[in-house]
Amino acid sequence: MTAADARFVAAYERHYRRVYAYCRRRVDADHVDDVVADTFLTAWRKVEELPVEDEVLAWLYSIAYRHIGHQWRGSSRRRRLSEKLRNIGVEPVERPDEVVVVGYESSLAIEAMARLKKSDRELLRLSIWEQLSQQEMATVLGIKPGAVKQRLFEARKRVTKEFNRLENKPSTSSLQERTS
Amino acid sequence: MRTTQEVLSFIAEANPVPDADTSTIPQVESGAYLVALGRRAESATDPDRPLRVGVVAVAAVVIIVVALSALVLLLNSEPEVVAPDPESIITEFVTATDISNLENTLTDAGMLTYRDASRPASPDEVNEDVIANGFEATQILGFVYTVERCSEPLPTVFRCMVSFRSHISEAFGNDPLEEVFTFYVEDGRITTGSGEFGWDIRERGEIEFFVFAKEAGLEEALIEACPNIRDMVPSCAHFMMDHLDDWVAWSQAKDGDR
Repeated sequence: MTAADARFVAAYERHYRRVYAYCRRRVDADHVDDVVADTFLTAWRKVEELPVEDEVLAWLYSIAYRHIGHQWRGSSRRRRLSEKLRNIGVEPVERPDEVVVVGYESSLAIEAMARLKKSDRELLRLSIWEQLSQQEMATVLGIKPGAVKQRLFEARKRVTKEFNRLENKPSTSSLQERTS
Repeated sequence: MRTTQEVLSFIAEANPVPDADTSTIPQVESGAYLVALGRRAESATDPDRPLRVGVVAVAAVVIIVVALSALVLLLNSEPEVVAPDPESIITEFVTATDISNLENTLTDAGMLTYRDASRPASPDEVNEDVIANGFEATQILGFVYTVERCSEPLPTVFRCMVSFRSHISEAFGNDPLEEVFTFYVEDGRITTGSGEFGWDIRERGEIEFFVFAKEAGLEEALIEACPNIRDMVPSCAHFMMDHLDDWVAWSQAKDGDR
């Protein structure tokens, strides 16, 4: 095993679970294994670019982030199908793995988050779910740390606004009934 | 009315995987996993493989057609007629037809970046007006996409270097944004595939312009011109263009302070 291979293996063993969890939070269960495998395969091919230990996880997340982006076409097709089904009065079947049992407020928070830009949603997830620092978030998204600070501030403000709008909307009562 | 902190805690509670999975991980002992991973990827996900097959198939068909044509010409036509070079046919096909189509596709895609395609769309949200407004706004903002250096011509997939610029990026002196894009031919239409995450081209415009407008005391005019910051309308694009020079000066002064 070369020194580069050894570094890769160390990164793999140390971070596999967190990368898996990162991907699982963002893609269907059916695609997680593929995205994780592609992420590590890319990391393996780019092993010469493997950063110092403190930055490895964010680096792996940035690769995963790109691979997850490639899943967009598939999910986009599913969404179009769902919309067409709804238009003709058929409620699409919800996939079992997409049913997440959470409280009403959390459901509402997820709905509020879905109304944000994709990059804003990702910032919130990185901050809240992955607990990354602003520097690490900048690495994942490929932007400047200063931009992270500003965008995160805006994203928090927007999600709160959307949440309050949803909570005060009468139609959300049906969601409340569904989830209670 | 919930506070930001409360909303963030609700998001935290909604984490579908609160802790990293502690199940076993595929072993990498002796590099076996890596070898398997590499084989899997090459056989299942290597995008170049079907493409290479496609190129060979197309080239073979073209060569056969050209050869037959040449034979027919040789037998029946004037002797001075020269058969076209198969390679020039392929090049002409790609440059003349597909690249122009790709640039049109990108113009549409660029307009669509004014909406987050992944958002759940309500029926009243997607309509002709939104599309027309978005398209007009991109024209006002001077969106220009250039497609170049396409990889081999293929039946269903193209890989090209795409660069983007606008009046905003030019005013700020930014180099064109460049990214390799993959295009797919689906149902006779060319669609963009990858690159969505790389097309946050409004980053500077969306975030910084609104900060600038507020600081410059233009908030009321901003709200009037840009009633919905998510769906760009021509009045908002005009407003941005009208204040472009001030915005650049403000931004440069701000960068200087840092």
